[in-house]
Amino acid sequence: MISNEDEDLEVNPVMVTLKLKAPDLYRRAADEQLLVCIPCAASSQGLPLNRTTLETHLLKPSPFFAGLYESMNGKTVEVEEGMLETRSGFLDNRRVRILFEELHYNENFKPFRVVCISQPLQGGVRPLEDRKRGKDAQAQVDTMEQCKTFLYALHLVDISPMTRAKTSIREFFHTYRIFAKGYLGHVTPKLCSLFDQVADELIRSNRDRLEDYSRGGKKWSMFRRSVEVVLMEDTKLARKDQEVGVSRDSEDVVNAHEKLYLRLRDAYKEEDARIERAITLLKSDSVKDFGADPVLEKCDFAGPVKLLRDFQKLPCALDKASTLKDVTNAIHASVLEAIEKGRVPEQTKIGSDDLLPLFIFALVQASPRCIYSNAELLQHFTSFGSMDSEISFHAANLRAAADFLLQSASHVKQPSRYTPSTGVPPEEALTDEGLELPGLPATSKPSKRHSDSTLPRQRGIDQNEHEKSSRKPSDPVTSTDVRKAGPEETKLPTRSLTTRQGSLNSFGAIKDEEEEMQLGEFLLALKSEDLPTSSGRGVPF
Amino acid sequence: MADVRGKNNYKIVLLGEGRVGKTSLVLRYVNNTFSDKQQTTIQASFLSKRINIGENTCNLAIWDTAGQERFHALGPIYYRDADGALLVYDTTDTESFAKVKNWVKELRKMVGQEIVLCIAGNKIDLDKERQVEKSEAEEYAASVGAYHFQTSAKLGKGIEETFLALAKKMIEQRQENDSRQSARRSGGNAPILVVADDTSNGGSGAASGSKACNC
Repeated sequence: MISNEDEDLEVNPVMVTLKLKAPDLYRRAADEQLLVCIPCAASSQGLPLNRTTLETHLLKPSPFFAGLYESMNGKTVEVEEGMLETRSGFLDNRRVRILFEELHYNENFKPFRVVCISQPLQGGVRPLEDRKRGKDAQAQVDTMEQCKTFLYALHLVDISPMTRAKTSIREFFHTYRIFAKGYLGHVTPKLCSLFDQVADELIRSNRDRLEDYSRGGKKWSMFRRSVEVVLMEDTKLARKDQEVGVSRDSEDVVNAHEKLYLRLRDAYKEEDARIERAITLLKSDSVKDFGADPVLEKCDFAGPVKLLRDFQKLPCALDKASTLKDVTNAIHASVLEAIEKGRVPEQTKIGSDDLLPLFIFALVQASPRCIYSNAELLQHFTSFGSMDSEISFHAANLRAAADFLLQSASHVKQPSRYTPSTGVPPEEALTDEGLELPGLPATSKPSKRHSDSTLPRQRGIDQNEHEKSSRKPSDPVTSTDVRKAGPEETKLPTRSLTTRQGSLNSFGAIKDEEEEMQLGEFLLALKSEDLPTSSGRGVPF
Repeated sequence: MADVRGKNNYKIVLLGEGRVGKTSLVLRYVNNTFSDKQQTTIQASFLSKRINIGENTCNLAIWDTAGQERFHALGPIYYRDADGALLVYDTTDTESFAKVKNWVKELRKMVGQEIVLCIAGNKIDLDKERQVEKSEAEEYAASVGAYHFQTSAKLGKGIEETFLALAKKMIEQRQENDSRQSARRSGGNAPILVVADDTSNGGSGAASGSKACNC
């Protein structure tokens, strides 16, 4: 958003005057760690930049009253909740908003505050703040629609670079028909450099309208982001590669956002599927199970879950990123609501120790599809992330959640680590109560590997621990049963755990894979598992 | 991805075991403002602060990370491209200090010397329960080229100094990198020029070199 909040104080006329024309005042303010109030540039038109004005805007805290300040020329101001209110010594009463604050350091590296205010405490012009803010609100570029509005409002005269770029985008998709995992390092910068080039060409060919859009500045970033998003939206491509050239009216036409996403979905369908399996397994887990503070279980996270539910349906990466930000805000809103209702302690703060588990929880509950593809898209195929640290942070959270779920899926996926029917690792199956196994003490403890907290929580494993007490000798087939059976009789079990709600589904995925395993593979797998030997610790295979 | 990070934007990642006070520390630093927006917030996972040191105005983007062991492997997602890392341990918990050492090892291995490290021993208000001696922590920090500060998020002690030191060093490091790069650009490519193309000048030589690489 272009607003006063993005103003560079180094070029603000009041700040410049203070530093250059009254360096003694500035030094005193710095040395005495005063509060320096700088009216925003838009409001300082007509403001007499003399010593009196400057002294009026350098405030010293009252030693007696909190929130009360005295200017260097004896006027008093009260500071409360982001507002400055003139009290005594001023011609009129004003309430002035603090737009933003910077922490400056003096020569001795002692901090003093510099606040940019919406209006001078005395004199100057009253900026048309509301109107300006209304206009600024339109200047946001956090969604595709906002980008369109922003770009179209510029009334560019020469848009030929956009037209040329559409051809380049089509060529890009024609060249990179398949996104090969692990070989995307040189692919992604190509798109980004294309958008950089279009933005620069547009600025050059519309110099009259875009003269203050110098590269690297805030306006340039907004412009560059809008160009990328709108260009991708306006570039139409065939859904299937062999149908390049079909008419725009065809149902098989997609825009470049969708095309990019489809390509990534193709490339990462395996990861997406594994995550979906992991989600099935983790569905009944609570926020505490994911590692969040147990008190947060009393919060209602329906809001963030709802936002995430249709996340994958958004075609534009910027809209996805914006939704992720909304999800984080919704998580905070849920906690705030619980605080207000007294369900959660008042002093609760949400750092990443809680945010990430809550985010993963919401993601699991919402179960959007193609999580990994989306994480890839946001992390590698957008340039606006690198320009906006906050967007980048939310994209990183999705990436972290995707990787965590993928790891969880990996742990439950390994078929040979579990006995076919129970999902119990061989060592644990052998140590289960009630199982009389030769050469193994019934009291053996589960291996530490499976309770290692460094691993993502393993549903199958935890479940095993959970159900140890309830399992009976008559429960499903164990590795012993498999070993007792001859090769012909040995059938890979088709039963799943039934001892806990949801477990049937949870292990369905494992079961299906194992059903497909041939006996030979199964035996090999068991051999490679480094089973305990007969030397008193386990059973010979 | 095009690297178009603003030259005044700095990314700081907060690392450390869960519940050592990372969140409180950063909230103390960032929320100590007049702004009404900040004071009511409960969110502390992503925070930003604008500071001015000398003639350098910087935007600090502070990324908090989940400190639980199960999320350790996700660290690289967060510390990627970071200019600085604040590694927080609890002075009453030796385990948390050991965790900091692990992070330092990992960061030096994965990111190298590019990242500025600052270690903060938090909860010094609980001095009676102290388990990590200041001298030991300082010695370790010095051995790995990191700053060390003792902080108390509860009392607001040492926090300002911690972030100031981190910011100063990050600015210094970036300036050094920039000047090194510009020096390389102006003089470092001359030998390549001679070999690659006798007719081209220094700038174009670099360009042709990079083209060749891209192919």
